[in-house]
Amino acid sequence: MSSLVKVFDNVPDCVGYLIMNEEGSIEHSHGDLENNENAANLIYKMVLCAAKISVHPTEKMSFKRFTVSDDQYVYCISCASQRIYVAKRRQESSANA
Amino acid sequence: MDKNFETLVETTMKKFSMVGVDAKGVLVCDRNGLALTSNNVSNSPGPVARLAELATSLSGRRATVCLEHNENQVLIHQTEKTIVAVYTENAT
Repeated sequence: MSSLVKVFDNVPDCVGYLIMNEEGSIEHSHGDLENNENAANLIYKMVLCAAKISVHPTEKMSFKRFTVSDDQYVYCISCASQRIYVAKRRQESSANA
Repeated sequence: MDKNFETLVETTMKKFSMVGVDAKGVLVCDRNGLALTSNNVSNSPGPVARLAELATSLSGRRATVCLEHNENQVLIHQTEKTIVAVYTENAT
Protein backbone atom coordinates (compact mmCIF):
# COMPACT_ATOMS: atom_id res chain seq x y z
CA MET A 1 0.00 0.00 0.00
CA SER A 2 2.87 2.44 0.75
CA SER A 3 4.03 2.07 -2.85
CA LEU A 4 0.59 3.15 -4.06
CA VAL A 5 0.65 6.23 -1.84
CA LYS A 6 4.10 7.24 -3.06
CA VAL A 7 2.66 8.15 -6.44
CA PHE A 8 1.31 11.34 -4.85
CA ASP A 9 4.69 12.45 -3.44
CA ASN A 10 5.67 14.31 -6.60
CA VAL A 11 2.32 15.93 -7.30
CA PRO A 12 2.89 19.70 -6.96
CA ASP A 13 0.57 21.79 -4.75
CA CYS A 14 -1.19 18.64 -3.55
CA VAL A 15 -3.42 19.34 -0.52
CA GLY A 16 -4.93 15.87 -0.29
CA TYR A 17 -5.35 12.55 -2.00
CA LEU A 18 -7.63 9.56 -2.01
CA ILE A 19 -7.37 5.98 -3.23
CA MET A 20 -10.55 3.94 -3.65
CA ASN A 21 -11.17 0.44 -4.93
CA GLU A 22 -13.49 -0.31 -7.84
CA GLU A 23 -16.48 -0.58 -5.50
CA GLY A 24 -15.95 2.88 -4.06
CA SER A 25 -14.47 1.87 -0.69
CA ILE A 26 -11.71 4.13 0.60
CA GLU A 27 -8.36 2.35 0.82
CA HIS A 28 -6.26 5.36 1.72
CA SER A 29 -6.84 9.08 2.22
CA HIS A 30 -4.76 12.04 3.27
CA GLY A 31 -4.97 15.81 3.83
CA ASP A 32 -8.15 17.60 2.73
CA LEU A 33 -9.64 14.33 1.55
CA GLU A 34 -8.83 12.38 4.71
CA ASN A 35 -11.93 10.66 6.12
CA ASN A 36 -14.05 12.70 3.71
CA GLU A 37 -16.71 10.15 2.87
CA ASN A 38 -18.96 12.71 1.19
CA ALA A 39 -16.26 13.66 -1.30
CA ALA A 40 -15.38 10.01 -1.86
CA ASN A 41 -19.01 9.12 -2.59
CA LEU A 42 -19.40 12.03 -5.00
CA ILE A 43 -16.17 11.22 -6.79
CA TYR A 44 -17.15 7.56 -7.11
CA LYS A 45 -20.48 8.56 -8.65
CA MET A 46 -18.62 10.91 -10.99
CA VAL A 47 -16.32 8.11 -12.14
CA LEU A 48 -19.29 5.85 -12.92
CA CYS A 49 -20.99 8.71 -14.79
CA ALA A 50 -17.87 9.79 -16.67
CA ALA A 51 -17.36 6.22 -17.87
CA LYS A 52 -20.57 6.60 -19.90
CA ILE A 53 -19.46 9.80 -21.62
CA SER A 54 -17.41 9.60 -24.79
CA VAL A 55 -14.49 12.01 -25.07
CA HIS A 56 -14.97 12.14 -28.83
CA PRO A 57 -18.13 13.78 -30.28
CA THR A 58 -18.90 10.98 -32.74
CA GLU A 59 -16.79 7.95 -31.77
CA LYS A 60 -16.87 5.89 -28.58
CA MET A 61 -13.84 6.84 -26.52
CA SER A 62 -13.61 6.53 -22.71
CA PHE A 63 -11.62 8.89 -20.56
CA LYS A 64 -8.13 8.11 -19.32
CA ARG A 65 -8.31 10.80 -16.69
CA PHE A 66 -10.55 13.70 -15.79
CA THR A 67 -10.28 16.85 -13.75
CA VAL A 68 -12.75 18.98 -11.84
CA SER A 69 -11.54 22.58 -11.63
CA ASP A 70 -12.91 25.58 -9.82
CA ASP A 71 -11.18 28.85 -9.02
CA GLN A 72 -9.37 27.46 -5.97
CA TYR A 73 -8.72 23.74 -6.38
CA VAL A 74 -8.53 21.07 -9.03
CA TYR A 75 -9.35 17.40 -8.48
CA CYS A 76 -7.35 15.09 -10.75
CA ILE A 77 -8.95 11.68 -11.09
CA SER A 78 -7.72 8.58 -12.84
CA CYS A 79 -8.22 4.83 -12.70
CA ALA A 80 -5.66 2.05 -12.87
CA SER A 81 -5.42 -1.57 -11.69
CA GLN A 82 -8.98 -1.67 -10.29
CA ARG A 83 -8.35 1.46 -8.20
CA ILE A 84 -9.45 5.09 -8.39
CA TYR A 85 -6.77 7.68 -7.65
CA VAL A 86 -7.74 11.23 -6.72
CA ALA A 87 -5.39 14.16 -6.08
CA LYS A 88 -6.70 17.51 -4.85
CA ARG A 89 -4.38 20.31 -5.90
CA ARG A 90 -4.41 24.02 -5.27
CA GLN A 91 -4.89 26.09 -8.41
CA GLU A 92 -1.86 28.11 -9.47
CA SER A 93 -3.66 31.45 -9.28
CA SER A 94 -4.82 30.88 -5.70
CA ALA A 95 -1.35 29.62 -4.69
CA ASN A 96 0.25 32.85 -5.94
CA ALA A 97 -2.32 35.12 -4.28
CA MET B 1 -35.52 30.63 -31.92
CA ASP B 2 -33.87 27.24 -32.42
CA LYS B 3 -32.21 28.58 -35.55
CA ASN B 4 -30.78 31.52 -33.58
CA PHE B 5 -29.42 29.12 -30.99
CA GLU B 6 -27.74 26.97 -33.63
CA THR B 7 -26.31 30.06 -35.31
CA LEU B 8 -24.99 31.26 -31.96
CA VAL B 9 -23.20 27.94 -31.40
CA GLU B 10 -21.73 27.97 -34.91
CA THR B 11 -20.53 31.55 -34.49
CA THR B 12 -18.96 30.70 -31.15
CA MET B 13 -17.15 27.70 -32.64
CA LYS B 14 -15.76 29.95 -35.37
CA LYS B 15 -14.54 32.40 -32.73
CA PHE B 16 -12.84 29.54 -30.89
CA SER B 17 -11.03 28.49 -34.07
CA MET B 18 -9.82 32.07 -34.59
CA VAL B 19 -7.90 31.87 -31.31
CA GLY B 20 -6.48 28.46 -32.13
CA VAL B 21 -8.97 26.23 -30.29
CA ASP B 22 -10.53 23.75 -32.68
CA ALA B 23 -13.96 22.89 -31.26
CA LYS B 24 -15.00 19.65 -32.98
CA GLY B 25 -18.43 19.58 -31.42
CA VAL B 26 -20.68 21.41 -28.97
CA LEU B 27 -23.59 20.06 -26.94
CA VAL B 28 -25.95 22.22 -24.90
CA CYS B 29 -28.51 20.66 -22.59
CA ASP B 30 -30.64 21.66 -19.62
CA ARG B 31 -30.17 20.45 -16.04
CA ASN B 32 -32.50 17.54 -16.62
CA GLY B 33 -30.27 16.19 -19.37
CA LEU B 34 -32.52 17.18 -22.27
CA ALA B 35 -30.67 18.39 -25.34
CA LEU B 36 -31.24 22.01 -26.38
CA THR B 37 -28.87 22.04 -29.33
CA SER B 38 -25.85 20.16 -30.60
CA ASN B 39 -23.30 20.60 -33.34
CA ASN B 40 -21.62 17.43 -34.63
CA VAL B 41 -22.24 15.49 -31.41
CA SER B 42 -23.93 12.09 -31.34
CA ASN B 43 -23.58 11.44 -27.58
CA SER B 44 -26.42 11.42 -25.09
CA PRO B 45 -26.67 14.56 -22.92
CA GLY B 46 -27.99 12.77 -19.81
CA PRO B 47 -24.66 11.68 -18.28
CA VAL B 48 -23.16 15.08 -19.19
CA ALA B 49 -25.78 16.90 -17.15
CA ARG B 50 -25.42 14.48 -14.25
CA LEU B 51 -21.64 14.82 -14.22
CA ALA B 52 -21.87 18.63 -14.16
CA GLU B 53 -24.30 18.47 -11.25
CA LEU B 54 -22.02 16.14 -9.28
CA ALA B 55 -19.03 18.41 -9.96
CA THR B 56 -20.90 21.40 -8.54
CA SER B 57 -21.80 19.36 -5.45
CA LEU B 58 -18.18 18.28 -4.99
CA SER B 59 -16.57 21.70 -5.23
CA GLY B 60 -19.43 23.77 -3.83
CA ARG B 61 -19.05 26.34 -6.59
CA ARG B 62 -19.12 26.53 -10.39
CA ALA B 63 -16.66 23.98 -11.69
CA THR B 64 -15.46 22.79 -15.06
CA VAL B 65 -15.01 19.08 -15.74
CA CYS B 66 -12.47 18.05 -18.34
CA LEU B 67 -12.44 14.44 -19.55
CA GLU B 68 -9.30 13.50 -21.46
CA HIS B 69 -8.16 10.68 -23.68
CA ASN B 70 -4.74 11.42 -25.19
CA GLU B 71 -5.23 14.59 -27.25
CA ASN B 72 -9.05 14.46 -27.17
CA GLN B 73 -10.89 16.43 -24.52
CA VAL B 74 -14.40 17.35 -23.58
CA LEU B 75 -14.95 20.36 -21.35
CA ILE B 76 -18.20 20.43 -19.41
CA HIS B 77 -19.43 23.52 -17.63
CA GLN B 78 -22.70 24.29 -15.90
CA THR B 79 -24.13 27.77 -16.29
CA GLU B 80 -27.21 29.14 -14.53
CA LYS B 81 -29.69 27.38 -16.76
CA THR B 82 -27.75 25.06 -19.05
CA ILE B 83 -24.83 22.68 -19.29
CA VAL B 84 -22.37 23.19 -22.14
CA ALA B 85 -20.03 20.48 -23.40
CA VAL B 86 -17.27 21.43 -25.85
CA TYR B 87 -15.33 18.68 -27.62
CA THR B 88 -11.85 19.73 -28.60
CA GLU B 89 -8.23 18.67 -28.96
CA ASN B 90 -5.29 19.77 -26.84
CA ALA B 91 -7.11 22.69 -25.22
CA THR B 92 -4.99 24.57 -22.66
